[in-house]
Amino acid sequence: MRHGGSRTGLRSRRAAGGWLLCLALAPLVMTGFAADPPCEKAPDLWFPAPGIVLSHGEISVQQVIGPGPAGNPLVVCEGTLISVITTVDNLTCGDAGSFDVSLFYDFLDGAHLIGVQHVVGLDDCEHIVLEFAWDTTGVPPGEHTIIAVADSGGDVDELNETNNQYTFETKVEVRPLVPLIDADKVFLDPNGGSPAPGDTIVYEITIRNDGCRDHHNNPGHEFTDEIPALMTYAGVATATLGVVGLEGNRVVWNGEIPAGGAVTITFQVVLDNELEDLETICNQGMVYWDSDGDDTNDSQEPTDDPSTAAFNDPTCLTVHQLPPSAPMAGTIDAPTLTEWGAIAFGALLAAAFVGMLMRRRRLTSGQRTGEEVG
Amino acid sequence: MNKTTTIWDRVHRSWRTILEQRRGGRRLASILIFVLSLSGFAVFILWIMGNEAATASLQTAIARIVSSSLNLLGQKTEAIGTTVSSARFSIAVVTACTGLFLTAVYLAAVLAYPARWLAKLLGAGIGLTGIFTLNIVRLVSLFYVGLYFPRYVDQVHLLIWQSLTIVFSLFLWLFWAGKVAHAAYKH
Repeated sequence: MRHGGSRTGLRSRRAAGGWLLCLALAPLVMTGFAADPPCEKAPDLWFPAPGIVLSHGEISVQQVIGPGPAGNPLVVCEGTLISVITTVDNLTCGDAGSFDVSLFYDFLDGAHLIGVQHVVGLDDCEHIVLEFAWDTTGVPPGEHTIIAVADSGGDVDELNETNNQYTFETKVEVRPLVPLIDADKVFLDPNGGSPAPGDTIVYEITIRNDGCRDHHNNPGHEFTDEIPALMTYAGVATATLGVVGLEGNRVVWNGEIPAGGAVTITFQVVLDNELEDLETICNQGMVYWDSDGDDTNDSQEPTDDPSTAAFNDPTCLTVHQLPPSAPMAGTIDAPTLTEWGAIAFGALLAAAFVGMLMRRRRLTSGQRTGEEVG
Repeated sequence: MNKTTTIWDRVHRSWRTILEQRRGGRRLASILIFVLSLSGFAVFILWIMGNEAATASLQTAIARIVSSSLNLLGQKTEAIGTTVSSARFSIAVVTACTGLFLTAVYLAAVLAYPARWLAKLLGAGIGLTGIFTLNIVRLVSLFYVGLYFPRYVDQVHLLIWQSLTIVFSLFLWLFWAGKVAHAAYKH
């Protein structure tokens, strides 16, 4: 009996415990099913644009940071370490497994790979912020575009495979550790308008050193510019740095250009009076510079006319001669008096006329009175 | 005696009245002559303006004189027809630029003013020379203003030179009437 009674008690206690457990777990089970229904969608990785609000109220970041001042392009010397921060987000409720995020410049190939980072997984609606360090050593000088690729290994089966690439808005301009010279040449007519025979023309040459090393004053001229026929040097030349002068019929300049700096050279010429209408005169200066930093001018850079689309083209001016007999914009006719001027003059002269007559009357009556008194 | 004096006095007064009336008539006549001369010169100017050959030759002559003056001052100008041209600026000498109206009004005033013929001739000479010279100076200066300060051409032309021309012509006439015509009359 005792054993039987105890068995019955044990059974009833187990039953009661089971019910309690069920009651306790029921809300958890029910709420669990309601909040997290099974997701049938595949994940979708993408790069949200900077400033977009993501889960947990965090803001998306896509940024390129260099050691110097910010800007677009970000200008750095070759060998500088650049930090690239990118945010990868999973758009859908489907969890993404492990995948790679790769960073390239200009082209999506191994030669242009900046780095790869492995992401273990990205749950639904979650994001991850990755930071890449880009060592620009060996990167060719010039402007470069940075491109990030999510799931570069194709490990994740995504809902949308076309949004896995992001091109950074900020570009990076890498400058070499030697001088890098570029030159522009423009002309100015101080009188304004088109150049005419006999006009004085000012040529302005700007030589820039876009390299990360100063360009020294090396043996030989750094810049020469032949004065073309039908132009005469007017004896006025200036340079913001170095020394400018005339050697024969060419303007020459010697001097240093600091890294990232520029020199502006100007000289004046007078156009020949015999130039004919619509005649064009072109000329181009030449910069001799040191491209490898051994203080020898081993490279040449012709000046470019920035007003044209062509690259390294000569600077040309076209003479416009107006026929002397043709009335020009500057022609005036200058009547001696306008209509109102004529009316005013007539009225004033008439008043003066009457006034003088009256004065004359006074004089004559005075004379007569004198005669009478006498 | 008293009676005689009274008669003489009356005769004298009568003569005086007649003379004064004559003098008043002279003043009236002078004003009439001034108006008639003005009308005459106005007709003359209208005739000249209608006569292209006459105006063109006057304009051409002035253009040549202005161009020569400018060349003497170092400018490279050329008188082509009635235009004074350079590479950068030109002045077209139109009929109104010749000072014809100004001269005509001045001459009308000289002609109408009571004075001896010699004094009138002298007055006409002074006026013609003075106004013509001033007009050449005016055109030369306007060329320079147009060349170097083109923005101010209108102001210089309309305000400064017009006023100067009027004042100068008035001064010339007043000078003649006051110094030459009156002096001759007094003597």
